[in-house]
Amino acid sequence: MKKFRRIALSLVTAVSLLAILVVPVAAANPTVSITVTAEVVSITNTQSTWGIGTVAASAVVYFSTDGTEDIDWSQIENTGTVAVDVEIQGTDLAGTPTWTLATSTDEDQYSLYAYNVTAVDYTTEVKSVGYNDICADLATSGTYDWSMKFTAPSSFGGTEDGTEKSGTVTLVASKYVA
Amino acid sequence: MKKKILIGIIVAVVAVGAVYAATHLPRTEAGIPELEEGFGIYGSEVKFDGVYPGYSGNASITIINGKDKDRVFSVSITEASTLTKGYEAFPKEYFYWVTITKPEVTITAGGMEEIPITLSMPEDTNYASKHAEFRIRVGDLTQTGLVQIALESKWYIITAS
Repeated sequence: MKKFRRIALSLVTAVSLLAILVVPVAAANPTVSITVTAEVVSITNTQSTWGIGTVAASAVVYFSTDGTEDIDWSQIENTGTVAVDVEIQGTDLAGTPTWTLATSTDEDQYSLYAYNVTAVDYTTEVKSVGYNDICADLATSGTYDWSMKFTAPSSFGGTEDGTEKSGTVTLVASKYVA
Repeated sequence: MKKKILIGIIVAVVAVGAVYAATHLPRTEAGIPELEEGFGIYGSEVKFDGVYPGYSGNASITIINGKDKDRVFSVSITEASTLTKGYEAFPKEYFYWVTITKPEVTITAGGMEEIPITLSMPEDTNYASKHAEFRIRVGDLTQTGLVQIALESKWYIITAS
């Protein structure tokens, strides 16, 4: 009986050693933690359309009902559950010819600036590439009144086809992080 | 004895009810607020910490549609316009690591849709010990006016050393 136990024990030991040698030990991967922050980002904006009308070279038109200055014409509201930053971006105006959005006006080149409460003027450039903050750290249920100033090209280089030009201005909201 | 059996039945019924409620009730019951108008993203920030070559995992954001109308949404990856302190821009050439399973989705008024997003870091990538940031942007394709709204969820990737 003792002999049998010894043999059995030896066999078990041998099989165990073999298993250690044959079975490759997989390298443990590091742990990846994934965190999703349970907050809602959401904004609304009261005015979305703007009929600028027929413009002469270098004409200045404000984002309002009648084109005159109204710094509170539109209102952004934070309808989410976390404070947000809101950035603004514009586009060229499609048409024949296209009017390019630029820092300053030129031939077939127009400019667009949003009102800046701190500067008390239309100083926030609306760019087609990149963004500028229109308001930062807007609290939940907080509102921000805003407007824009459009300046037509200083000259019209191409042959205007007389049809309406169109473009968009996008307000981009994301969580405010200090 | 009868009392014990009765208590046992009550406990069982309550337990089954709790499990059912947790798995079958509308998402709003799970803590995602509804919106009266416009739209929102549930999941303001998403962080993957410890990502290594060969890793693949996913996380979701949820698009909340307001009760005012049906909408069609686009979901895309984009660069961070401003970076959170301590993070660098996630290189555009690595944007293919991110797979958005529903790049366009229609949601009825008052509805919600979970958008699973997979992050897969290729085996042969040399991008260790990085803190990188990009955005997942949600746009409303039914907007027609001059001024439109887009929302972004901030995504952070921290790679293992």
